[in-house]
Amino acid sequence: MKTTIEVDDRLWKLFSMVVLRERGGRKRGKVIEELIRKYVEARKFLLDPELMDVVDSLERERENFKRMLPKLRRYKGKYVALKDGVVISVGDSKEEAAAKAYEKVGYSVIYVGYVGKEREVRLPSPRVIR
Amino acid sequence: MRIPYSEEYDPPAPVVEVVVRSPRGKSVRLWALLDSGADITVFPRELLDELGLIPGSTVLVKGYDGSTEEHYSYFIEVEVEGVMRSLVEAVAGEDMLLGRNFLNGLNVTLRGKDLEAELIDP
Repeated sequence: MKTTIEVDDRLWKLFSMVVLRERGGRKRGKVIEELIRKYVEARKFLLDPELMDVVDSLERERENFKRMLPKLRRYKGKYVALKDGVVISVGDSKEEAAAKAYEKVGYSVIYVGYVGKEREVRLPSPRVIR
Repeated sequence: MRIPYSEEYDPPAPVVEVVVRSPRGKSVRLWALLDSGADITVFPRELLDELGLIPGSTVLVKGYDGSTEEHYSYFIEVEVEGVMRSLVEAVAGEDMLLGRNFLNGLNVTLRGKDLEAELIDP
């Protein structure tokens, strides 16, 4: 798959120079893939198969939501909960949509999304370590 | 309910004991900071395993420095002194923070000079 990440300019230049010197070409993608593989291998103990299933299912529902958005226009300004690509509840708040959904399908993987421009939430509380 | 500020924070801060429950029914008791600057509630990430929480949505979280990061969000039940909110959207973090998506259901008075807060369920 292809993905996009943001990296500090200077760090990226230094990385490019090191890769060029060590590998003799533009092999940055290959090096990044190797680094990711090593990172995951070293933390395999964190990969609970049940959790992986949950995350997979959630990401699938989220993709369904994005794909279905143009068809969900009649719910504009509302939150909808999806399960297996089907709208199972609608609410004025995320909590309302989630509560109705859990009532129908039990506490299982659902995805609650906003039909409209998703807002940002602010968590501006820095904690000073003394 | 009157709650004294905790001196474990510097400067002292309004902290209250809460019960966090997953929709599965498992619960834990812990201390939570009343954070009127936070749009959303935060719980310690250890609770993910402890309560068997399942993500139900995603949120774009903007920090104090303006940086934004996407997080999974969870629906939890929060109880403060018998006042229960059935489902509150929350993200996993370090400390327990009661954001305005919980606090706005109560009347909260901060009396900083007296190092005391008051919570009233109207």
